[in-house]
Amino acid sequence: MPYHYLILSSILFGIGLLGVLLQRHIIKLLMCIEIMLNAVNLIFVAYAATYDSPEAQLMVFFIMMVAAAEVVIGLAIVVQLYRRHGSLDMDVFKESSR
Amino acid sequence: MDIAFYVLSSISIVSALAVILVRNQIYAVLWLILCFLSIAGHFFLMNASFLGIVQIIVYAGAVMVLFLFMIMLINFNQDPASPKKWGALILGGLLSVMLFALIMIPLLKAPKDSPNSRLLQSQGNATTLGKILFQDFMIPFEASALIFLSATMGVVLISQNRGKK
Repeated sequence: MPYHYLILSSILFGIGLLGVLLQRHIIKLLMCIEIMLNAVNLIFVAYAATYDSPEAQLMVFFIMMVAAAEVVIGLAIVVQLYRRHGSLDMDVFKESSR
Repeated sequence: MDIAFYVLSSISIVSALAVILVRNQIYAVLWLILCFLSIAGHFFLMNASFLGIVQIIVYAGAVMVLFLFMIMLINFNQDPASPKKWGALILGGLLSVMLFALIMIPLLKAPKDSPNSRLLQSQGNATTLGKILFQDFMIPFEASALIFLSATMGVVLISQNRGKK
């Protein structure tokens, strides 16, 4: 079992989760989601190296593809939110949607 | 090899912490690039050279350049002006610490060994991965091409503002 890599990636996942729950700036929230995705990728590659399976590395490749598409869509939505609300603060979105 | 693991993991943890602590958005993106580069170093350490290169090119290159463009385009370094809500901060911190403990407690009971002792030197170069990708994973590969096509069309649709100004 890739013990040290599990510890490291769970720490990275915890940091990303803390950022997602605590940040109010929406671009930083997207960055924290990227940190969490990378922690998961790290676990995949560690298990691929442990059990000698290149298929798990391909799974990481697909995760990267989906993450790139997700970032593109998310940033387009951020631009539209900024046009509509004039701010990137999550609290402003919450106040103005009431 | 163990020293390389510890150095890379300390770099990645410190830079990931800096991403959520630094107030300047540009600096946060630069710390995130450092975090991704150190994770690419982990991939190289585990003999996944193709994934390391893809991580550097796609994540540290393309995605982060997209983030930088977005920050520089729409608001350069503007902090949230609304006051902090301590209740939400404490609740979020408690929730994330509890989930983190939930992940860590079973891990601490697991058998420990050296970082790279059990790692087989599996082949993760472009030749091996490409053979599997274009034989066994052909349909998911085409599906990801469709995902990119729909992402492109979605971005074009989202970012044009029709009528409303």
